[in-house]
Amino acid sequence: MIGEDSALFRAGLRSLLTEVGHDVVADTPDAPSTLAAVLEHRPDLAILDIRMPPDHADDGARLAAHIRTELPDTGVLLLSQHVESRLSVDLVAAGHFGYLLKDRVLDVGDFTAALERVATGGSALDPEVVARLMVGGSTALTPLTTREREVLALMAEGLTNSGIAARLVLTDRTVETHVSRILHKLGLGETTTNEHRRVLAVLRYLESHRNLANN
Amino acid sequence: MPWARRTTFLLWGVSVALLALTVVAVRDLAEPAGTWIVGGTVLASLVPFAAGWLATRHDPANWVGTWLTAAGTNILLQMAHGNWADALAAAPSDLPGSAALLNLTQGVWMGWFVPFAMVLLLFPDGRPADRRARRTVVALLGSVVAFNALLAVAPGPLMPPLEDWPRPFGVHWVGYGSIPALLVFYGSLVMAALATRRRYRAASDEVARARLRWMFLTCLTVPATILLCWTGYLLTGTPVVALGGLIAMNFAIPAATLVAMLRHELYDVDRAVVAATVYPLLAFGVVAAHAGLSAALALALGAGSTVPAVLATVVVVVLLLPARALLLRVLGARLHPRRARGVDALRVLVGEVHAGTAQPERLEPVLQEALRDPGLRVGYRRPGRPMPVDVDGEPVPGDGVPIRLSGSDIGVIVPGPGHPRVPADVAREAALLAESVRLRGELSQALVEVDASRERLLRAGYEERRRLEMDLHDGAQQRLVSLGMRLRVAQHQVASGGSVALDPLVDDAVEELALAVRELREIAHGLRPSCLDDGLGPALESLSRSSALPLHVSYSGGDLPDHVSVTAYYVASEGVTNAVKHSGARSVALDVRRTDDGLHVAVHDDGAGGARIAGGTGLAMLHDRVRALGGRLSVTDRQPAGTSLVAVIPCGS
Repeated sequence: MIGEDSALFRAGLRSLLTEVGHDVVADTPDAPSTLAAVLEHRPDLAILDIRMPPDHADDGARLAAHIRTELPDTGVLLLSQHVESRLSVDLVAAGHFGYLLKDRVLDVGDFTAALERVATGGSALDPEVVARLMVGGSTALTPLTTREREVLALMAEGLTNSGIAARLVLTDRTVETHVSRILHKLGLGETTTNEHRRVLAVLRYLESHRNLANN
Repeated sequence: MPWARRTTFLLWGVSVALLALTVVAVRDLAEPAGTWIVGGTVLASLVPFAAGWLATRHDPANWVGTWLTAAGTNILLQMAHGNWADALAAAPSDLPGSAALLNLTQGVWMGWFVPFAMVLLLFPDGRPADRRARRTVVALLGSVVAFNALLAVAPGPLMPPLEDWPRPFGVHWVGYGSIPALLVFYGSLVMAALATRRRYRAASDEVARARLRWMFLTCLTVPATILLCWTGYLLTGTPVVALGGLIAMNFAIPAATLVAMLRHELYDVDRAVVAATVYPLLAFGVVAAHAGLSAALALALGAGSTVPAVLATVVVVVLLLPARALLLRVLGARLHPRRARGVDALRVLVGEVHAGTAQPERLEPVLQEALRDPGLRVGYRRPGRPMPVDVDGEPVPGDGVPIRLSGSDIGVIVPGPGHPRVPADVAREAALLAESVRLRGELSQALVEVDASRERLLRAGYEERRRLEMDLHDGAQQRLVSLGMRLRVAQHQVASGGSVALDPLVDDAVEELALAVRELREIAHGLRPSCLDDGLGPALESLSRSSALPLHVSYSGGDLPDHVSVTAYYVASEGVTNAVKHSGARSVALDVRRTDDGLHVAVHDDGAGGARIAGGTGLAMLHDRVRALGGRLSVTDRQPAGTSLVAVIPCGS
């Protein structure tokens, strides 16, 4: 299901998703009609433009929070034109949630992977947002090797171990080693059992160190 | 009716009678010049009469007015007495003459002094100030009576010209008692002058003191007149100048008394007092020094010629200026302490300001302290403010002494309630300080405005960026991403073995790209109208083509710097937009021409009017843009209807 005010973008996204094999049950141009459609169709995933009518502000984000309380099992992917790390991190922390820049749509493979992760309870955070978090928390990350940082960034984006392995062309086992070493170095303990809580822990860690660096 | 006023009327009657007697005596004398003397004297007496009447009308129960009138009556009395005596002396005469009256009025000359001594004793409320003053009144009037009575029996001849007239009361040694009576009279005159001084010391109120200083000036006219009389005698050897001096005194004293009573705030008495003291003293000093030096040098050099006189003159001239400055300072500080304190304090402040240890804004507190007037305010004239304002921009109401610099009013010093006006010299001394306060005030106000306008420009800049960002995101960016998605879909369809109609796909894609390019161009136009590439004139023409209202453009701007044309274009397009949107105008005229002081951009419409440059509006934004180039923008209502928006933008030579 798609909520997006630009008809052009909406139609394009619909045909793209259909083409790669997803069913689009509805597409709507503003926040109230999107909410009505979500409640009616109960889709696996709602893709929302963060800025849409009636207020053209953060209507999409508010709608996302509303859907989260009404239908906790529905995945929500917010699309935005620009990076808002604060809002995105807060929402991602809730799980079943993704935040991507609009032009990620053109990278069809990564985009559909993110969609599927969010639909199945995982999370997706735009690499741009993660890059900003990493820059902010750079002092805290000094003990990590370059490779470990790459892995950490992908963990923060919400990728699973196998997803990371596929992206970096490594074996699953190597990735697992990297992950446990990273978690150990950052003092986050063994949280590998739950993918989502792992993302959460990493984000919280990066956030808090970013705030420290800013103060 | 109060007795004082009744007596004034009575004196008028007496005066008319005396005038009649004079006329009779002068006719009997048959002197051709007599008529002129009578006419001149009557005119001279009008001054004390007028002063007396004004004072009586101001306060009918006050005896000061009555005594001023008496001074006028005295002039007529002296004239009648003198002429009658002359007529009797000139034989043969048909005029009746009373030997008794003649014997009893030999001291008639005292009439010149009695009214003024009484004015001094009674000023300002018409009553003697204290017991000593009451005794002085009794002594003065008593000595006049006693002197005349005793002189009537005094041994020796009568006063000329009637030396040979009979002595009906006989001659007795008791008559010598007239000499102590005369001394008492002189003593009373001195006491009268001292009474003013005592009153001045006792006065608690500055206003009363200012009035009494006027009376002090009045007193000073008496020695001044005496000095004049001496000089006259010395130079001409006749009493004409002395008489002139007495009459002059009759002008000066009533006038000064009247000013003291009614208009003491009007003039700066203190300067007059100081000048009236310094210059006679100086004149006396010059004469004395010159005479003394000439004599001493003549003795030393043994020369009876011009050399000592020339040398003495040189020395006196060389010493004159410093002596004048010294006298002015010493006497100024004694006679006019407020002026001296104020001027000194301001000089100290000027020194501190020059040294950088004080700000000129201290002017007000420094004056408050120096003049002991905590309620004193200093107001500065600022452009666009009807009333003088203080350092903080609050209006300073009230009447005060203006501060002038090269002929223009730059401020005012207003005394606190119950305090006298600030001496004019203090205001003069404050002028440069006030001017620098004023300029600093204008400067800081201009800086505040510049700050505000800079902030508005900055904010408007951010606002514009936000708008451009939204335009970019919602327009061209969306379009390009959508196009990308369509190409991806086509790619997928081809990859999964489907077929894609290539021609319509490419056509659509190119059309989308063209649209995106156009949107980008429009956004770029918002950054800088690209139509300005060909100059302001063609840009305004294109504005008129796209305008919703008939727009008459007249342009004679020539080649302009880019920043001027951009700003002028904004003024024109915002003006036209406002006219179309808000005014309900039917047509708009746009007049752009170049003059000596810059580029004039005028937008006239025939709509409802009432537009104002207020915060947050497009006009305020425009105002800031124009001000940023050193120009000015005004919005006025036109008659009978419409609005004129006029900007003048400097554009170099």
